[in-house]
Amino acid sequence: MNEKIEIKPPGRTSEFSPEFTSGLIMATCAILLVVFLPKASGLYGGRNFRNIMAPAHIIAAGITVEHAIDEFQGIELTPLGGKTKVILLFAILLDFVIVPACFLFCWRYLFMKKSQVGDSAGGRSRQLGGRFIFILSGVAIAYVCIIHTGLALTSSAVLRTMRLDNTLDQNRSFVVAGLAAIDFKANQYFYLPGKRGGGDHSFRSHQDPTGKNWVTLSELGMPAETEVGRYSIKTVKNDTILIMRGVGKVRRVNGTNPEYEYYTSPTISRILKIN
Amino acid sequence: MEVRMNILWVIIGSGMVIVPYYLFDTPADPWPSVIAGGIGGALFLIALFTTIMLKTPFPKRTKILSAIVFVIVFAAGALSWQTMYEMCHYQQKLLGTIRTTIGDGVLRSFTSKVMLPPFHEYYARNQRRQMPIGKLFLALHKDRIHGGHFKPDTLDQQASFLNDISDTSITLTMVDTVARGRDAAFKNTNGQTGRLQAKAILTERGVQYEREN
Repeated sequence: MNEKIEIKPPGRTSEFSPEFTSGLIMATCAILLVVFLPKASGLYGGRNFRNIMAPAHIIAAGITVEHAIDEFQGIELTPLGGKTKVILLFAILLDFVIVPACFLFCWRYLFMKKSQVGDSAGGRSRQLGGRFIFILSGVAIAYVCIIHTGLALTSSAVLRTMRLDNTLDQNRSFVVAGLAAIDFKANQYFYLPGKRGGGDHSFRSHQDPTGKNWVTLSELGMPAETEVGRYSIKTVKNDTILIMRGVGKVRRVNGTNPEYEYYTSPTISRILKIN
Repeated sequence: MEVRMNILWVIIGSGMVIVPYYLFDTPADPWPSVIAGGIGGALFLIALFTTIMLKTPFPKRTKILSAIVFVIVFAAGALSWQTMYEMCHYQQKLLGTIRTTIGDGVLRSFTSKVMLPPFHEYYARNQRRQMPIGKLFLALHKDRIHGGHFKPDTLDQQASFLNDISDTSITLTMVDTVARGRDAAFKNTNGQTGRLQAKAILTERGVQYEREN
């Protein structure tokens, strides 16, 4: 007689449906993704990328670049920490398992229940919850897709520009390095006595009996053309100043080639960018 | 029943990501495990999407549209992963190349700074060439030579060793302790592996600079 009898109102359940509960857990993850993604998108190449919910490949790319900078500075590489590994794993799970599963299950649930539940209060509540999760996870997926596509397109363009710029920069560096190598040889030529094939404190050619002509690249043992550029001795101001010219083989956007002049003397060397 | 199946799907999906992720785990490079986990996740996603599409009586038009959207999303993701992978490795390689170019320039400049003065001295002031070029080099740099080592300008990123010391020639081997050389397996004079190494030989005829790695 003392037994309590719980009377449930018609069409209403005392607890959330299992679909709703499991969906809610997944939705929490989806909210995390949606809330943190704006930060993630701004963190491409930024700081503290490991502490937020960026897509896994962006975190991994950040780590790779960070390692490259460490290596550049001569800092010993350290193994990845456990926290970083867990964040990476969680990012993959969120992108590939939790959010898509949440979206697809809710979609199926909403479709299947549409005709079955009718207008009862419990049915409406479940449908509302399902719809909420469905929309949320859908937004999360759309957001990730926009970021993915946007990043892919931007990165491809940036990569192309970087490669072009880098090819030109590298060509410039090689031309300068080539001129420096000629400078090194020219300095030795300057000090070497004439009978040993040098200029005997002059940049005049030892092969020229008249003594009017200046040293040539072949006398210095240097090639006039390499795979990266063409070199020449432009002029000699006097016996002690030699002016060399180096032209790169990579064309700039305006159709011209990078060009440098290198002034060398036994005491000082100077490089001048012409183009 | 369906909830249990859903949970089972999530558990299987997580397993498909976690197992390859830890199987391909490397200490310093995140990519092998991320790619392995991503492939596992992608396979799970394809299986899940196909199953949902087959088991749910969606209208045919919805199924076709969903499949198209799925392919677009999947392709966008794959493109993003591939681009990001290429981009970061390109930057890594580029930084390495820049460091090696700088290192080579520093070694060349060091050679010039160390080898040219005795060469100059030999022909300019030592008129009768009474002192051999090897001895002249040792005399000029006596403060920097300790044992077989030659004290470099940047102590922390360069190691220099004197080999084959004779009256007529001096060979200086220089190692950049940070920059990578051409061959990753090259054994450097200072005990490191794969670092930039160059050799400079000073003789009466001049200085010969040669990059060994």
